[in-house]
Amino acid sequence: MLRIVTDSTADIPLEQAREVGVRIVPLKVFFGDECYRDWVELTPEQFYEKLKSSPVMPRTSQPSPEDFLDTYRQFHPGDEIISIHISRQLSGTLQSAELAQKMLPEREIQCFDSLQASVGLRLQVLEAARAAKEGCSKEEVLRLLKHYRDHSRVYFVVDTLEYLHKNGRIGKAKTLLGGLLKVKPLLCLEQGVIGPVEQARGWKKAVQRLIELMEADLSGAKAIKALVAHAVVPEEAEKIKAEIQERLQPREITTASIGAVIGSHVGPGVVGVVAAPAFEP
Amino acid sequence: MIHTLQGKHLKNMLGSGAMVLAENEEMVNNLNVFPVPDGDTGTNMRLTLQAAVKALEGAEGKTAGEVAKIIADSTLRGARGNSGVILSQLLRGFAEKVAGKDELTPGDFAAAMEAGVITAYNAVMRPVEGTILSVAKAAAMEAARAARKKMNFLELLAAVCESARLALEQTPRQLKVLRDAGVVDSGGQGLLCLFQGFYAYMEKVWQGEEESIISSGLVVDPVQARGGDAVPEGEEIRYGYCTELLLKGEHLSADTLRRELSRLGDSVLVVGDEKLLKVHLHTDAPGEVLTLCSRWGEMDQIKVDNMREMQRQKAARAESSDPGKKLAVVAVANGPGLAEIFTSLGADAVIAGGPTMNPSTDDFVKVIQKLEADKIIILPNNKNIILAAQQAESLLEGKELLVAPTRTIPQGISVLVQLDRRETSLEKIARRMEAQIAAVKSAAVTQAVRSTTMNGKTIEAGDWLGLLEETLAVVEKDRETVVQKLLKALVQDGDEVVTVYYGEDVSPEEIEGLAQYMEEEFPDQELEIYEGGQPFYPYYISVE
Repeated sequence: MLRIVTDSTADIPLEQAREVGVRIVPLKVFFGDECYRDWVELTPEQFYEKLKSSPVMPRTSQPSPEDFLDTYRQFHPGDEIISIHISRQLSGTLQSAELAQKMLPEREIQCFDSLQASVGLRLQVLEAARAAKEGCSKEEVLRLLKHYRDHSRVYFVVDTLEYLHKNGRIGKAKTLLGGLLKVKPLLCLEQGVIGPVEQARGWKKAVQRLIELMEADLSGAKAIKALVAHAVVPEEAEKIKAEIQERLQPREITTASIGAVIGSHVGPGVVGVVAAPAFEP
Repeated sequence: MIHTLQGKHLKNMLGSGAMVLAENEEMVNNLNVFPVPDGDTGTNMRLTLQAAVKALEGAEGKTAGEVAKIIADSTLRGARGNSGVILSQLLRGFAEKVAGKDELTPGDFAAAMEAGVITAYNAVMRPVEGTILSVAKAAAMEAARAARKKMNFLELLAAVCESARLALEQTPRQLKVLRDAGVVDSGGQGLLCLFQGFYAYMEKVWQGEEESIISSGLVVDPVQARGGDAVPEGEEIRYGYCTELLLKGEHLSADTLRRELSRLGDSVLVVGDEKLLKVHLHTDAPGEVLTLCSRWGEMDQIKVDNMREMQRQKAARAESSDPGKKLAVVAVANGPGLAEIFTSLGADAVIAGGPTMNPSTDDFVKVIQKLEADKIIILPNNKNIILAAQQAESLLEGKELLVAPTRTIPQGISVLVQLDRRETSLEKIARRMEAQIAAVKSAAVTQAVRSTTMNGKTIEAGDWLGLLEETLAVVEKDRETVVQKLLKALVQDGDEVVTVYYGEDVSPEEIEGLAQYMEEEFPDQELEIYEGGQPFYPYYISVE
């Protein structure tokens, strides 16, 4: 049987993971010395509440190789596994997964760099899980994953660059730092790293540009799949969803919350969108 | 002194190493730039080792092999971060090599270190040199050499530390991101801390205090990013010649030679044994170094590099090979505050100028010629400057110019803020400008210098004038009223940000009053106030 494994930065709630048959290895979030397993011991709501009152910035940590070993070993020895993870350039999670894979040479495990995080990863994982359930082979699922990896567009607007900066994940968007004017940075996630797109004066304008860019990038695409993610601003996410529905007419669009690990890096108030043309086998 | 390591020694060594690492955690964190610059390498390595320390609590009477296995298993489980994971692999390989052994000879220890390095390299999908791996490899090779030379554990660990330090210094040469940041690899520094902890414990053993555990208080000096003859950029070089050689002889003493050499320069490193020493230092007197060394024995592989010349060449290379930015932005602004705002938003040059001081075409040409870019966007921010800017193109060969039709400072700022950093086609950038300019409403306040009639309004010298975009809209005797009327005309429901750039003769009290007015009249809009420092125009205002 083909099994799909991912990590908690896919921002898939546990219950949903169980429903679709995906096994999730959690990353960890630390407030000082208190350790929480992402999504397992800390829901997004709890996390952002804690963030408000905590005197220290949260830190995050990849799962240990042992965490992956434990997960992989739970499957039947004859099962095939595809382990889909957050971009190598944003986290060491893949490193731990690959180590565990090497320590289990008798198992059929394929590690896959999504070059994405959060919604971008979530889209790949959910589509892979659906294909696996429908009985697709490992090769077919890998083809599907490569399609979404290479064709997904991801844009997000952050309230402040402070979190990305402090956690060292700012990537090429460093060029946007240091502006004297207050701006809302619009960023993309491409080739596994965060890049600057532009800035807007005011939140609404930034969101408007996000949708315009999505529309331009995907013009001509039929059957778009899209996801909107947010860090505790559900009303904003619903508004964006409605607008994308109207303008891009996607085949599928859902909204989701951003969990503690990703939230530690982007900060509260962020909204992000992934959209991709649906995979045609 | 001891000839073999028993389980308890191994346990205490690791405890001492963990201690030293913990004491230097912040220093290691601060070095962290690769692969993800999140500043937590020290923390991750400390916590990884902490798992082993905890697992070893109460582990009495174990063999060396058993202790190594406990360390390996617990760190694999507790591994955090990339460096922690690699560290756990070093320890795993070590443990596998010494499985079943009651105690370890220096040879066993060195072989196990090598096995750890092999395991770690195999574990990493893409091993990168200039990281903890390189430091571990150098240390393991040195350990093997030391064991072959029948060194005891104290000497062996001293050699391991020294070679690890040397390898760590080299990391900026191997990895550009370290070089750019001017640091050595953080994981490598963490590993060196661990080795230094091993050594500190071994010293205690030699002093007969092997059971006493370990409050070392050893603060490790961070290794400076210099790397043999890697040349610091722009930095003043104190000693001009990087001098290296091998010294062969009998009864060589690294310590004595190091002491003698340190009078002749800095970055002194002397490693090896009594028959062969590797010598490295930076000095202004390479001749004296050679004379001194020749008294000790036979010299080989002498290498003297002129570091000042290397620095000059490097600087020249950097200048000539830098492809430069493809796209640059030149803005026109009057007032130091406005210039600073444009620069902070990414303008590559700001030309002083404005309504009363229009820069010439030549001003543009001179500034643009200095820019390493072949595509230039000019933000004139005044309608009287647009033409002079456009003419610059004919005088600039090989440069493509786009003069944005920005007629006010707020328009210029709006275009700059919304510039798509991924776009390199001026044509595509130009296509979006109109919308960007239209998205901002702007106003300005200035004073009439003479009496006249404009737009059907009678104006007396000294009156305050309010302009909406470039059209006269308000004439009043006092400035405050002009500002308030302009704001009422500009701000509409749905606007988000009101930005005020105030000029050189506006008092803090006046600004305070404006802020209060905004708070009362327009509570839904966010007000941002910046000191523009511009002359003649006390206020530029934008609404977005």
